Amino acid sequence: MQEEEFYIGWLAKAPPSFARRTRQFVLVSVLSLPVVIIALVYFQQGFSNGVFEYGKQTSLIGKFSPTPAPFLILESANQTNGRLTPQSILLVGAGKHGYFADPKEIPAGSKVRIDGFLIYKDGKIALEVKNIVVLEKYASSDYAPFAPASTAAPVSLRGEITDPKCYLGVMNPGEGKPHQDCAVRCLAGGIPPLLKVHDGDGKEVYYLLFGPNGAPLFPQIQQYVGSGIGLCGRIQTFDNWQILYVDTTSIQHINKYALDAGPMCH
Amino acid sequence: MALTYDPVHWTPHKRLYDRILIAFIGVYLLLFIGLQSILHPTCTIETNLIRATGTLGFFMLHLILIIGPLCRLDRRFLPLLYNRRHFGVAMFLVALVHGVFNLFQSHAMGNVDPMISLFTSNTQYGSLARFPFQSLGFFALLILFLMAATSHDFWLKNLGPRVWKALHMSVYFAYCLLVMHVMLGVIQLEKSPVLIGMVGLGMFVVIGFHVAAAIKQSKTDAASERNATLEVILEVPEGFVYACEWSEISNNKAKMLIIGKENIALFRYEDKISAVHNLCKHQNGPLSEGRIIDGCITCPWHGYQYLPENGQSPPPFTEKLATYDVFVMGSSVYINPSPFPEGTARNPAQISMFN
Repeated sequence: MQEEEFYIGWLAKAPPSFARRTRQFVLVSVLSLPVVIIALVYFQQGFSNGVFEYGKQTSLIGKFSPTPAPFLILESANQTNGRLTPQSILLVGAGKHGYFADPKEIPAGSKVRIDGFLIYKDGKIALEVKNIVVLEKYASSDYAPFAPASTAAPVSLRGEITDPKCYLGVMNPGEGKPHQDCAVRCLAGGIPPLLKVHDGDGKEVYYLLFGPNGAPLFPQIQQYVGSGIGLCGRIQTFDNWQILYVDTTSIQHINKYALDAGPMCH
Repeated sequence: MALTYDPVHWTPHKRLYDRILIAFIGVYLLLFIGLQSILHPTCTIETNLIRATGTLGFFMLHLILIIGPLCRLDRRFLPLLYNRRHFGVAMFLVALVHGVFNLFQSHAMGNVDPMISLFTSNTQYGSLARFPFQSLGFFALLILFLMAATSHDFWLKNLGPRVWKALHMSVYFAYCLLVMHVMLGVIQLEKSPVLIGMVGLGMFVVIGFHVAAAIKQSKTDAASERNATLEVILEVPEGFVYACEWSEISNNKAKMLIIGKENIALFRYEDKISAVHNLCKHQNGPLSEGRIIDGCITCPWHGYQYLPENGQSPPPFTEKLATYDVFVMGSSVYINPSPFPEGTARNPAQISMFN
């Protein structure tokens, strides 16, 4: 560097040694860009294969069941060109809201046609309801309201509580700490909580959570959303869904590395 | 410095700086979003944008934070400092996109106002692992907003250099908040040690440059210190202390002196010696690292100018520095470290007659 060189920003030209140093800084910064980006993108945890068919409307016909949560029990499998097997579809509202139906307008067991956007992952399906039309207002003769059974099997589980709407495809990732606040807001809006549990074979098993008598669990579980927890309850099957009636006193935070440990309560 | 008011006093350097900055931001976003779309096709566009802007803003903040110490270590990096506020404002805008998209994705369309949701969805402030990390990001963004909004010289002038500088030093607090925002947020989900390592490397670089610059500065300060009580030379008027040999100061340059609490820049020019307070009125830049250009002391940071005889900026500017009496005997320069009121004219000490 020549001793007499001096830089003033408002002059037209920087001295050569100053310009050279500045170019070196810019060059290092620019060259570090691809390294930083590749490292950040490559080493991220992968994203799930959940799908939200936003903007692609689907119409489905079936029986409306308000319990254990609002469900559409599909009448036949051929409504979605083979994409869906006959099963119950969890109904959710727009945004961070559950779906609520006025029982006078849509009695349990009514035959309905619902237009909305499908959300699905790992064989579990939800539908964001855009429009619902009652085709037969009264309960079907073959409809039996779902209720908690005394025969439900006791179980002890470890996993993470999230909301099924986001987890099944609306958000990606729809789990973990970054998604915690969104999940809380969805559950506060009336979407039933989903417990995600790793089974021993590297797959995930899902449970819709309710209180001991089938009542909503929010806000009692607010502080447990988005982190590793252990809990006890009783399992009952609803079509292709597992319903878990949770003993709310048993819920506890656990280390995320202990998610695959053994039973807690039984 | 400019005679007329321009919201931004554009210079060729500023235009080039901003073009490179915009290109840098554009290339980063394109590469990140493109690569993410290829490697993780199921990642939604909102999440892709949130991650691209979040990582870019954090990366830019690291570059911004190392520019200061880099210039202390090697003044040839000063062109980076000259327009750093544009870098800062650009970084805030990138972070704002990240924050707004996050606020919308996580908190909008729910049963409460998004801002209420931000602070009530997770209230586990007593747990480190479950700490509501989004609130940390919010407060960091608030600080960055205050800095971006007051980055213009209008605010520097109205708040005063001391308040303005203190406000803008809060970038370090914002940086700490953002490190915690990352560590308690997305890192809790991610499993790869590489990502934690990258955050650690970033902190190491930022802290390392600051420590290195502080060590260099402390050595410079120590070399500049003069003990006023030990200097007793009969021929020198009372109150004066030995400063240096005038031959130690190159023509049109300065030497820094720290005498007691006084930080003084001793300038040599046209066979004269004058002394003014060492800190520029603009942003406390070190005038002793400046030059005499066109008869004016010129600050190395942003080119603010002062007349060496009276510490006043040439008309119509109004900035004023404290001045000091200087005395030359033989080859030695003596200074009285008692400052005169800012802008007070003092006769320079002549050195040519003793040469």
